[in-house]
Amino acid sequence: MITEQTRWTPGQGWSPQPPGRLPQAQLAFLFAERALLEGGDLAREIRALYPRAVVLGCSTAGEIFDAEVRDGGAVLTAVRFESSRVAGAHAEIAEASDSFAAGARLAGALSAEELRHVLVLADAPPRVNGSELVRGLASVLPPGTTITGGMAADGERFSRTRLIWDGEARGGAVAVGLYGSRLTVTCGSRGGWDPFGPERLITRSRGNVLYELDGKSALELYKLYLGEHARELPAAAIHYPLALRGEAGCAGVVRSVLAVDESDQSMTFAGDVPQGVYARMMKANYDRLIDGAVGAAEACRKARGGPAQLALMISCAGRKMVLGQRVEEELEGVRDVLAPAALCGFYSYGEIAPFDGASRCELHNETMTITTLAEES
Amino acid sequence: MSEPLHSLLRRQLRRHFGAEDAFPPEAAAFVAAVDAAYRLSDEDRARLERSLDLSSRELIARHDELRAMLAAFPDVIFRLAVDGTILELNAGRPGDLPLAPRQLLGRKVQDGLPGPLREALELALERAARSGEPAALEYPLDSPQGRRYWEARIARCGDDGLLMVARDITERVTAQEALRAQEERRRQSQKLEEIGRLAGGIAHDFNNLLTVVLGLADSLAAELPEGPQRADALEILATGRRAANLTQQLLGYSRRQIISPRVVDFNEIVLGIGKLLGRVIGEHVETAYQLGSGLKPVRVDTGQMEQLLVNLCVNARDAMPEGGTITVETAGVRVDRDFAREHAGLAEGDYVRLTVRDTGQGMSADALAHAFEPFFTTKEPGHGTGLGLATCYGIVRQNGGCITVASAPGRGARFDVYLPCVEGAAPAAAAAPPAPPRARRGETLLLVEDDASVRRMTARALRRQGYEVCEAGDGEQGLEQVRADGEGRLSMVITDVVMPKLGGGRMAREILRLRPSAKILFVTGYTDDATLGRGLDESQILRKPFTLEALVRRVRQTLDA
Repeated sequence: MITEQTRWTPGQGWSPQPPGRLPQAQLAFLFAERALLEGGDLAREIRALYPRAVVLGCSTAGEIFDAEVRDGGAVLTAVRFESSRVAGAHAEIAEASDSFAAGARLAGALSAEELRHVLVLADAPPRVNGSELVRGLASVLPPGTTITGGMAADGERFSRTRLIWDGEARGGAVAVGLYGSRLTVTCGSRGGWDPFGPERLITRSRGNVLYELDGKSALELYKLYLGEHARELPAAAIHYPLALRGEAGCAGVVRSVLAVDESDQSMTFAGDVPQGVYARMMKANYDRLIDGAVGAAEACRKARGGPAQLALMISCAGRKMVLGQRVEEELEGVRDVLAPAALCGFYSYGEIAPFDGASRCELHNETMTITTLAEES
Repeated sequence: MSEPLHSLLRRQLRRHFGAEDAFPPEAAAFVAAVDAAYRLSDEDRARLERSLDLSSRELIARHDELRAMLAAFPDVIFRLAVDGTILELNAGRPGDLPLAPRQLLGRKVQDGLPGPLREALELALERAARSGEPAALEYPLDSPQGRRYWEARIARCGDDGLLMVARDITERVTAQEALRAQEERRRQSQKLEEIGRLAGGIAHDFNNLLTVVLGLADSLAAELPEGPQRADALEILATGRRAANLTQQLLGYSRRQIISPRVVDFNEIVLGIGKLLGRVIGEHVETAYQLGSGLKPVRVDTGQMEQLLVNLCVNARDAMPEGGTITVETAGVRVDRDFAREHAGLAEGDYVRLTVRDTGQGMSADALAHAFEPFFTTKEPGHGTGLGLATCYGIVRQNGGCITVASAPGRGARFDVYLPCVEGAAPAAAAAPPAPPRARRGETLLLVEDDASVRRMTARALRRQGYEVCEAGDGEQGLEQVRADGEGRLSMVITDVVMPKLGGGRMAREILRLRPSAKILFVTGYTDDATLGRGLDESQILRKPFTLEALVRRVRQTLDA
């Protein structure tokens, strides 16, 4: 397995080299600032450079290149496998309520034979319900098939996201199947946020839209906690994701805020916030966030038992906002664990992975989710 | 070896100067100060986070303790928002909640309840939230396990929450209702007893009046030649007999009829009267018999039992003007302690149960409550005396049993009569032929009666039969005359029972003390053992109102005995 990595920044253009050095690549990831993807020129350019590759990507809240993160640019990673194969599919999603069906369609488009893993990228809410998309995928894929991926992002604007598929900017969701007996895929996902304060019941919600906690306006509660920063909503709410209590014996999930609507006092989260579930607010702790990223990397390494060749990092935009100038510390922590793997990825509005190797694949927020690939020679 | 710079500072130095140690030497003190400030900031933050973390853990621990305490209660406990939204709950006992606790979270506690209960609960929630005063309400709720009763107590919990404790009080309510029903039955029974006493008293007085009316009318009819006057006398006689029949029914209700209990197989009574019932009921109503086998015998007045059956069947017939089915059932049943406790007059033991069911219009709750009261009727004026069921009640009670009724509008009615069984087999029924009256002259009778009219009429009738008659207005006078009768001229004493000064019973005991072989005939409308004294048989009693023929026959029988 051979990888080629390069990045584009407004000041420097492509660095350290222009893309296209691995024209035989079967897979190419392109993560970029939304504006760079809107016209489709960049996507078409990459498509032309890697004519045999499945090219996929999305808009981000920060592009990861090795252990560095940049905004407003693009990161390209092309992969050529020795014997493994890649196949992909795209599904438009007109309404978020179609997400489950779209997931099932995507899974149905992938051959099950020798399928090792499925990578998925999707538009962010409200256009796509990530939880339902994952459930739709899992409903059709062979049992035990791991799914990882993430939801596209749009900087700190929480506005509109884009996907790249087949040389075009699109919406909806894309899924890529990785095939081959010599391919090893592992994944790890960790958060590192600390819940605090009392448990509150989600008393009114619909899908990923939250209205009330303990019978009172959830938005008002957030404003109370944010104080003067409430005017920076919805971005400011990223500091207080919600930890949802899981069913007995199951791990809970974390949900981060993507949008607020003053007119109906609603808050849109990056994943489902089911009514009747208890939630606690969470706060960031720098050290534990970084420890979380390292923990995700260690989970990958432990599962593999040997070095990976490529690590795809999808980390939550909320982590980047909270860590601020220290954000690269989590990338450095991952690099320290997974070196000499090539690192690429992006900051997202939602991460898709099983919490650990054995549990059900779910949509997470506020996590560092890592997928590592290695192909035996 | 010096400590490395703060990680954030190192990153910033790398960004600005290319490497963390590439800053100008003159900035070293500034970098050191920034490094110290960053570390101080980290320490402050770490302290605050630790405090927050510990206080959060304590909060959760207290919350868990509270949950554990609540879980120890068998009640259903809700923590609610002020609008009733369920924020947390303790499920109580299995089956107490209509849904799994998880499914109830986030719903309103009043959702899904019947309208009036929902409104009452909303009002209680609102009152508790507004005033802070605890609110309470009791309500029934239907569940798959049947109707259950709940008591809900609501109190304000914190500034903007409520606590509602719902307790299943079905057992308590059931016990209270049973007690209430028992009390109601007792009250009803007491009422019927009081009405019975009143009716009995009235009937007794009427008996005296009717005795005179019938006696005189009888005399007139016998003395007058054929003609309009004799016809009038006969009409008076017939009307008087109808009135006497009414008083007999009243006496039946008040359990003052004289009865002749016999040990019988109850099925024989039912079979014996079957033909008569068919005629009484009519062809538009079908009659079905389901007679139990192997019934133990009962000791009852067969005539009264026939009257009971006729009355119940007539009542059933009248409830089915458009036709229907009357079912007469008998069965041997065991009355247990609980059933006996709930039904006045019953004791634990074996009973024959007679059931008369109809498919008629049924009774309203109000009609049901008054069914056994005399003169209560739902029939049109002139279509019933209102004494039919009252008589049934009196007959059954007089025979040591109990009668119950169950009915609802449109669902027919069911009467159950419980009669106590006796040990041994029922003897074969034997008809007792009436003794023919035989008048004989030359005998002297002492007539003791406080009612002058009755006394005069009776004396006159007896004298007409050739008897010498001495009269006394009360027991003392009567006893005085017996004491004065040194030669033993008096052949027998005819006495009323209830009289001022000295009653017939006590007078008779005195006479018998003076003359153990004295012949005494009691004339009464009562069968009150307490009044008459025990040990009397039917042949010693003449029931009021009597006809002259009956009087003469009974006097003759007593003299000849």
